[in-house]
Amino acid sequence: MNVLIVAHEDERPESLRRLWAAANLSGADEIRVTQCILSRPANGFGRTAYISDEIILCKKGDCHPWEAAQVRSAVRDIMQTRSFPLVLLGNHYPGAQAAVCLACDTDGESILNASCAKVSNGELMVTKAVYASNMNAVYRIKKKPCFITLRNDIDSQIKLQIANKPVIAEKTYNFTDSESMIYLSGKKIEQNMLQSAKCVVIAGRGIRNTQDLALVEKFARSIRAELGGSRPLIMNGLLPTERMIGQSGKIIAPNLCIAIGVSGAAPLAAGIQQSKKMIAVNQDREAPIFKIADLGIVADYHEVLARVMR
Amino acid sequence: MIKAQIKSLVCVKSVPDLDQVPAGDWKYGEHLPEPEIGYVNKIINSYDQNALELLLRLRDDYKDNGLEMKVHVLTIGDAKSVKILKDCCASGADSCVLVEHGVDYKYQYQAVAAILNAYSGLYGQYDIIMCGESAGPYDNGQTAFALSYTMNIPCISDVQSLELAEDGINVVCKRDEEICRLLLKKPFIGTAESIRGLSLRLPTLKERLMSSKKNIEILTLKDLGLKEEVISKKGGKLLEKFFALETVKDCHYVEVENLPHTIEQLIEMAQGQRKGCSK
Repeated sequence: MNVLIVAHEDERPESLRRLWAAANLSGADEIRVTQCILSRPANGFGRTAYISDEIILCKKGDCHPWEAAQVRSAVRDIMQTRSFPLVLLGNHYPGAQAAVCLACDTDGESILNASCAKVSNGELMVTKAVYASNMNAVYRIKKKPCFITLRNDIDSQIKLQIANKPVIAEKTYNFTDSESMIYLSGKKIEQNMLQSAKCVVIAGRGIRNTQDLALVEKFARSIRAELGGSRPLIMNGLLPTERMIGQSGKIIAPNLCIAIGVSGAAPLAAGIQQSKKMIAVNQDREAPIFKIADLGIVADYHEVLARVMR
Repeated sequence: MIKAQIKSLVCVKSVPDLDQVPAGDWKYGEHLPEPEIGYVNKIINSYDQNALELLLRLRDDYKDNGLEMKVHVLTIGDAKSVKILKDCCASGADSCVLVEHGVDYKYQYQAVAAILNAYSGLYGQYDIIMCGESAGPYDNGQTAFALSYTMNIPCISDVQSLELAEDGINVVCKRDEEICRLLLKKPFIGTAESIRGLSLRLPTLKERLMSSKKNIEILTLKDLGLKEEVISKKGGKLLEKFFALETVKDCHYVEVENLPHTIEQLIEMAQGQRKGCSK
């Protein structure tokens, strides 16, 4: 089976790992992986890790980021030379939009934020979290090609290697500027403190008012941890939006996560399950948070925090 | 002063409030092909709410500066969806439309895009179409892109704000780790997700009472020139099964009396001050 991976020159390592893991479909015979590298003058060919059997290099003449319509042109050109039943794109911009447009172009199918793909009884099956990550759904793909992007919170942990692979094709694109959309400026977002913190305290629905929150904040300050919150806390106005953890907010992977009064509902769990170590404090022993915690404390968090801060 | 006229549409969806579902109710099986969560309240999808707020703010910010703008709201669903449309009217939408259709297309974004395209084509070219990045339990996130493809107009995802400009609309959007400022000519489609610092307006009681008397236009697929048997075939995938996420950790429970020492060790380890930890 031919698999096409579409990745930027400066694709992040965790994204490349995801793409590589997904390309190696379990259940498929003889997979051949082709990597389309989207390059622009700002990058400089050769810095990416190769996660395929061969390379197709697509260069564009200007320095602006690749737009969805441009990715679509490049991939369509590639697919005219060979059939690819499965095309994997990086989840960051403009992978998602390009995936959907390519599916429309080719009368195929697209799935965004997929967890994995495999072949079963000769059929392509794609898994994706649904119902706010409370369940997983498995789809059987009826129409090919299938264009997939992968969700950001999975990391395959494989080791990427820089290796020479044959460049089987190279094309330079000189796209004309779009008249309907003009890029005026861009500003890098400073990395959110929650995502760079080594230790994070998460306040959950059990924190009901500003006094309770003040106690948790004091605890977080005492251990030099950042403070995040579940969606209910944000919606109640106790914490600002940028501190929201979970599927609708930030995905974090600190060394230590301390979940205070957090039930462990799937949307929040999706945001913290990559923590190296997790401590959960909840009065309900049946709370789902204990299924993803290393250390569980079944007690009132007021008592727990008072003891720890003594 | 910039004189402009904008006709805008927000596509909204009534979705189950999944926060109300206890962990134990996520059941499925041979005789239960889908989780039974019909008992939970339906709410307007929060991303759709953000999309509506962005358009209302654009209208309100520039209405005294030459902008004539109408904000229309559309939803596809059954009669129960009228409630969220009334809520949108109470928030300030100028009119609302229900495309009454009993089929929930779930993961078939192509069918939804076909309906929206048909409506837009028949009932007036919209300058701006906004919707939430994704809606509904199946978290597709693809409808806006498919609509953009069908209508052959740009789609901007993760819109943070809209501003009126001389030559079009300034759109501030988030792209990965960058905040970008774009100038868009009409028409275009935008999607909204979580928007930093955006607080939603709360309708007053008077506004709610007035919206309850507003007429909701109700259309059918036939009114849009569509046939159910045609649009339902647009999808290219079938749902095979559900399965639950598996437990991956064996939690070690600690008594409150033993806490301080254990937590202190873990915190020091996390901050990189010492290696190893014993529970």
